[in-house]
Amino acid sequence: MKIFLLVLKNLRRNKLRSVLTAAAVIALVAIFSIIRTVVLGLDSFTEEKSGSVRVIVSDRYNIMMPFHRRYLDDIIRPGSTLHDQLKAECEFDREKHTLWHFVIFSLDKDMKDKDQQFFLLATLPDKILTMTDDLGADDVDPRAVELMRNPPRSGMPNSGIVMGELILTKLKKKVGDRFKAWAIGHRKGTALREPIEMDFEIIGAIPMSNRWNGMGFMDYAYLDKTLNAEKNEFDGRIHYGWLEFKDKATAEKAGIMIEKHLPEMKAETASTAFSRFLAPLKNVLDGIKYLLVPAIVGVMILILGNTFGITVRERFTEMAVLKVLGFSSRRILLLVLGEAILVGTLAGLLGAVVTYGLINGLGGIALPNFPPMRMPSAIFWWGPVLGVFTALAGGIAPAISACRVKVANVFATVA
Amino acid sequence: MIPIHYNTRNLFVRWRPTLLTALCFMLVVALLVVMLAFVQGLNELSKKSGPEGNVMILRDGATDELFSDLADNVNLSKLWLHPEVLPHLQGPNEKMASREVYSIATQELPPKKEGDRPTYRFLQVRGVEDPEVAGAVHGLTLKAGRWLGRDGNEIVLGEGIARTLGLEIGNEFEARKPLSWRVVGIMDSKGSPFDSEIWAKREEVGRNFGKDNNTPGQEQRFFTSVVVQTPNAATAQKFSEVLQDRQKDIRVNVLPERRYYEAMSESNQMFQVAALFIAIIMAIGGMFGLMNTMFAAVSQRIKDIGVLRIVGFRRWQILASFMLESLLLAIIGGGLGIAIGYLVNGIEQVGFMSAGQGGGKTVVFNMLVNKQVIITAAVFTLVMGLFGGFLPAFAAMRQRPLEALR
Repeated sequence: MKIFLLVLKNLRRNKLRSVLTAAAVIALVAIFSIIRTVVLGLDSFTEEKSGSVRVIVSDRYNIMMPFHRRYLDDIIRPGSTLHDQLKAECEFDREKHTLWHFVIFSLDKDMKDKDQQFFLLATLPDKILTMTDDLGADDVDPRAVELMRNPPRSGMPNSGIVMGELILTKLKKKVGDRFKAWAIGHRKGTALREPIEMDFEIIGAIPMSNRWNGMGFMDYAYLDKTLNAEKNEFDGRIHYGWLEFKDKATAEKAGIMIEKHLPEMKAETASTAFSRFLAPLKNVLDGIKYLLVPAIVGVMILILGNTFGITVRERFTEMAVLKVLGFSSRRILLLVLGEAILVGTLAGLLGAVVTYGLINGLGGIALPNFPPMRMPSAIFWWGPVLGVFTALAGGIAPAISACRVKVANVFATVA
Repeated sequence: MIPIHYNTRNLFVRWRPTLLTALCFMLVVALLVVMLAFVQGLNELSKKSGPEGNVMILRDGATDELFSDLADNVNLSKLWLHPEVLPHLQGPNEKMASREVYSIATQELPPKKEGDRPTYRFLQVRGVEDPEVAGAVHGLTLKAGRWLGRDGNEIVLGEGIARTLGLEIGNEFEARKPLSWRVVGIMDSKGSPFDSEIWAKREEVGRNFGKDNNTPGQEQRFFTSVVVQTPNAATAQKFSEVLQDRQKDIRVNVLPERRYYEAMSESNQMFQVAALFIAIIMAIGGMFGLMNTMFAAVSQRIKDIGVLRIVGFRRWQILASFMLESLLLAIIGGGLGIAIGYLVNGIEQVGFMSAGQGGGKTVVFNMLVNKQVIITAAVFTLVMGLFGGFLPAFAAMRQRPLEALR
């Protein structure tokens, strides 16, 4: 306890130095926390979550290439060999499936204004809240399903859409609006290949804090009917099928069965698919993990080492007096290390608290094509632990120097 | 002015804090140089996309050729029968147009162990009608072998992808079952966006990688882009504007090819902003460390300051002297950081470029520590030194001579 009081007293003696050192540690803990949040966020896409696991069914040899819906029908139709096999061996529930078809639309018929473009995901409305990651009844009114099929104002069946608040703001639209849009990539089967025109009514909004805030959902039935009527080449096709299984092992087994039965299809867990998309960023992520993070830790160690090195050199006489008074070398070592650890811990904790409040208060870290990444509460121990570790690493050399002070040499100089 | 060797001697005498502070600066600046070198390397790619007179024609609304489709029954040559355009396509430029199909294929790889599932990787595949013309249009020559012919399943590889896949001339390569290709040429494509591409016959890419509509009764072939070579950048711009206006006949998006790849480089801005943000926060930490060092230096030399004032040096000279010392310290660390960061110059990296719409392109490039990166790092160092040293220098300046000597 006496040592602790002495540590506090020593830190108060040069408040400016203590504050500057703490400020440096706070800044570096902040950037470390931001980087760690991004790395953990990206890792979470490539790791399997515990509990139920989803499998993506897609074209085996082409990325983002629509495949015929009959392949998915083969999987979910009771009585089909594949469905029955999946049900028997993987406990597959055919209700736990959905499909996705991506469409890019523009409010600008001439398609010159990029700011008028938006994505819609054509899917099964009654599966949106159960089969879409991070989208539940808390985010979208469950009545939206019925409204998508029967929008109240337009009366056009299946033309209701749910859109993210971010995209609504960009397009200057709101819930209740009706509008026409032109599909950029889906064209009429005519010689001129004009864009397909569709009518929509916005029946719900996805909150800004949600990862899907930059796009919207539409009823696949409407898209399917329209593509058929316009003789578009993607009629009857989808980009992805989604299936849910009870755990990773079952999902992997189901994937193998599907690929064997349907050689044109690929069936893999969502995390495996995401890993492949992140492969081009591997160098960047490796650079962050093995270059940036060690550099941050290195800078913290140097700053703390420098501060306490200066402090110890200024207090050699004091250390000599402490020794004369009976303080052992060990206690002097603990005194100096204690000062370093106290600064490191408190600054680390303060850095964590400030960063957590700022970043999560702003909605998380937003990267293009990724949902906002919020800081986990684990930051409240990253900060102090990092502070303690760097304080120990930086403070050990000055502390050893302090405890090795030779009384006779110090007083000879003073005399 | 206070002699500079007063400051240099102090840095030497107090070598421990000098060393630690300089190392701190060195780490921050080296990191900044490495991050900026990555961004500059990606930016440089857009400048090597081909001759600056090239014009790229996509389907209207498309900003990425991956999501473009131009039906081959549309007579695009009608576009350049326009009187403003035609003169530029005569003589050596006649027929310098390449119709291409670009796709990203998923190649199945055998499992690493018996019983494991196969893994997959992405391959960038470009189908060309006339590979020699395509090479000329894009300003690419062959490093080895020959261009693919009309017969057989032949391909030409970019240098980067050849290295990644470990393929040489004569090797067989299965992109998908049962399509087997033979490598007949390797392009001299280093540093260009085509370095990671496989070039094959247009028909094979269209048929096997989903770019053609093979539905019975609706058969249709597509191109993703047409690249036309014009004599220079000004003509390319004019050509793009004229064609873009001819929307009633054929709906296309026309732009100079350089602009297309520059737009893809816009995703690099995110890296650049992130790099500067990280470096600024780390620099704030470094500046506080420098402040500590300089405040300690000032407090240990209060008597010196008193003497300097008494012998006649003015306050501003004291300020300037300590600011200079701070800058010297920053320059030592920053200089070392730039030198260490320079070691990554030329190192090969894999990156990603995207123009939005969900598409993108994996590219192989070399990290580049050019004049711009060095100047940015140098300015950064000086700013850190100035901000870090100002308060201590100001405190030194305000010392009263008699109090300092008491």
